[in-house]
Amino acid sequence: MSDRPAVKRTVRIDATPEVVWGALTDPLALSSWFGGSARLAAHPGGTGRFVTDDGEVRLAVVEEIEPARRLVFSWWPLRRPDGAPPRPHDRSRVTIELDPDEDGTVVVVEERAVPATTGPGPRLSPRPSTRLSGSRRGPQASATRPASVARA
Amino acid sequence: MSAGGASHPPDDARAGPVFAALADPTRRSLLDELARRPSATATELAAPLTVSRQAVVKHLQLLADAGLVEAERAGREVRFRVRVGPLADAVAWITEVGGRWDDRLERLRAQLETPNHRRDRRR
Repeated sequence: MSDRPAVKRTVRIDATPEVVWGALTDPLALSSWFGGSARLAAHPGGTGRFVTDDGEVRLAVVEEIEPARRLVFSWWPLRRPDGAPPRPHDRSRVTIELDPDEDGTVVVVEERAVPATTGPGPRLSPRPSTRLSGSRRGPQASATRPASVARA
Repeated sequence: MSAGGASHPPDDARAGPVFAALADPTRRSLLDELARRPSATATELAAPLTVSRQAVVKHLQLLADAGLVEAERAGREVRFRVRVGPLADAVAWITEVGGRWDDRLERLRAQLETPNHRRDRRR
């Protein structure tokens, strides 16, 4: 899998790992910096849902969690921005690590594309019944399904 | 800043022009925009930007030289699209995903470092 594309970002934040962790796990705080509406159940196997202002809907499942230290989740789009259908390589795994740094925290984020066939995600081709690609008028059709899809 | 072995031996010779093409923020946003749609004209791409259509054409030419986008003449207009291929595909992904994390982490930092953050947390 070493040929999968990945990005890595490091940022130092002037807040303790506990405070940063709160911004990852509290839905209100998470939505505030993620943009749109975001929530992620902070326990192994917990599901998440991210709806961004550009119309993208993503589902997520928590894979590893170590409070105030490390969070790993995989996520995939149910709907891409502007209603475009999901692409197979859009599924990826996000690893967020928090390292204390004096009074602050070094936050390291890595997102790596993963093969579409692994993990608990749904099929990635748009469902025939939801018409994801043709119309801009049907966002609710897909937006109401995440919990059941993520459990499947 | 981006990690991950997006390079394949046959593509190594193209890595130089690719990274030069991606060094410019306008070209990165053009590529990001093109990655979101099947194709677009320079005029369409210039509309939301603060740069001229002529400048956009030059940027697109550079992206095309690097093998990242391709131009196709359709009647009187030229339409551009992200070039399909392992490298271009990976670069488009890296550009889009990396740009999103840049924005998010900047907002996270601003959110946690603002003076009224602690007051907000008490509510």
